[in-house]
Amino acid sequence: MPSKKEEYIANVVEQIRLKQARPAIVKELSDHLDDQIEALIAAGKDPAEAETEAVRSMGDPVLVGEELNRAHRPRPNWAILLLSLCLLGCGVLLQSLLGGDVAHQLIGLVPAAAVLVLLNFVDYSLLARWGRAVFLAFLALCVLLICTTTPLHGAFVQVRQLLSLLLPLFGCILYSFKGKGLSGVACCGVFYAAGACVCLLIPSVAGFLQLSIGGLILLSLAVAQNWFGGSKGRAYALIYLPCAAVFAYTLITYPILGRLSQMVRVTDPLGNGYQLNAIRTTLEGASFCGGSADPAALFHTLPGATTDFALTALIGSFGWLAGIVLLALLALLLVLLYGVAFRQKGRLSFFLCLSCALVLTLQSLFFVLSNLGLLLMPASPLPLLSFGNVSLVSNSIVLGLFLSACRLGQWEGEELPRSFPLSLSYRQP
Amino acid sequence: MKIDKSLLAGSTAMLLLKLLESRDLYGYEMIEELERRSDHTFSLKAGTLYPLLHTLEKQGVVSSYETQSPQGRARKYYHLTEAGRQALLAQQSQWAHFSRAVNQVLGGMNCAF
Repeated sequence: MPSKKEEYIANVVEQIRLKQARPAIVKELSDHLDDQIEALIAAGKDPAEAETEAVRSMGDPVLVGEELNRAHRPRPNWAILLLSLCLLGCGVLLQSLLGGDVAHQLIGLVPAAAVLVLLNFVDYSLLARWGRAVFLAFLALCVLLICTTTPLHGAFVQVRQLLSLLLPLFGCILYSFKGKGLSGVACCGVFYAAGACVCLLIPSVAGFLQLSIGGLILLSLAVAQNWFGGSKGRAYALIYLPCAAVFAYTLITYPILGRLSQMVRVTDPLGNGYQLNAIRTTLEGASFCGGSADPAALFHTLPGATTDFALTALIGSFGWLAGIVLLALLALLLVLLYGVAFRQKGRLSFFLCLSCALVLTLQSLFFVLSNLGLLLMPASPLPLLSFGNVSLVSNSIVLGLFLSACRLGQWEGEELPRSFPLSLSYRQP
Repeated sequence: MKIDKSLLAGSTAMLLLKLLESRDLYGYEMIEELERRSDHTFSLKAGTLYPLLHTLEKQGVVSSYETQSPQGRARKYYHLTEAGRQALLAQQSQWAHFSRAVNQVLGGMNCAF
């Protein structure tokens, strides 16, 4: 038999449409009534009388509930949503300016925009319980696609573009090992290793690097915030010692330093250095407000002029200003993403938002470094802007997850107490 | 003396921010503190307090956190943010201006507040 106090609170929260908001409110009102009842008992009233009077002094439950409902309505982040849709449009514009495949980009834009808007309304907190399962299912999907699709130039290109989802899912993995100490860190490492293996299987060096760099940043931040508990020093050792070992091994086994020095000064312009030389030549012909290159001609001299090196082609044909404007829009989005991520109250929404921001930043960084002829990074899309269908949808899913998390993040957390009278005047949806 | 509710409605938010200026409080404490400071003139109902607090939190002028009260119970404390301090200053000067004008009309003289 629920008490008067519980009955009152149930009537109040019934008016609150957002279910996630209810547990915290139940607790706060319950605590308040407890304090009120205690004060009345201390003043000489008997418990039953005190409870009745305390409840009465709260006010009409329906009116109170309606007021609370008004304060707990989730709002989508319009700035990020609209800026993202704008960038998707800019991607189509970019294709048309460069004489690329506009139709193809438009075909990708429709599901991308739809995903962005729809995921906004999904409850991201499902990933709190199912994060690990989704991560593993995603890896299984990648392996399935590897086994059933045909590789292009030795790589499974479609699967490659899906890999931007790995880092956000890794963020959820991190969240799921809260308070598990060193073994929690180790488990994260195991999940990371599984993801890294799939990346290398495809092979996607870009995916591998982005997962590794992003994963390192997330793990280090989590340890710094004492997310796992236990000794921080040992956690850092567990993370960084294997990294250092793998890094050293890679440096010794692969001629990375040699390749890097070749990028600084191109020694083989007609052979291995062709791409880098073509990029630098194109950029040299560009001034601030115009470029000497003709997009149609670039198509033949600069491989990937409308796809992987669209920014180079844009600058070469239309000048540095065009490139700066495009990058400024993207940079604005990224800055907004980080600002929102660090303001998140809920921890899952924090990890999810930050990992989404990181994976988009890393992709952008790789793209820009390559396109400016600074370092030829493994091929990476420019989120929302560069040519592609799968990568457009994949990055839109990442942004959609972000939007969902930041919309509902402030109500993340508690569960209703088990004894709460759910059946009492609760209309089941 | 019984005060007309509509007179209080507009300034309740400002009074709550003022209470939080000196230290963090939880809901029940705020009602008691308000009663004490106003000499029992203002008796705020909890059903009015909590929706207002949650709206103020949504606006970013206050933030909340769970911690142990001095009596050892877990309570949701509210804290005045930097934006809240600015808002309080603005509202206080607005109130001074307003009440000065009212007093002028009523009393025909400039009452310093």
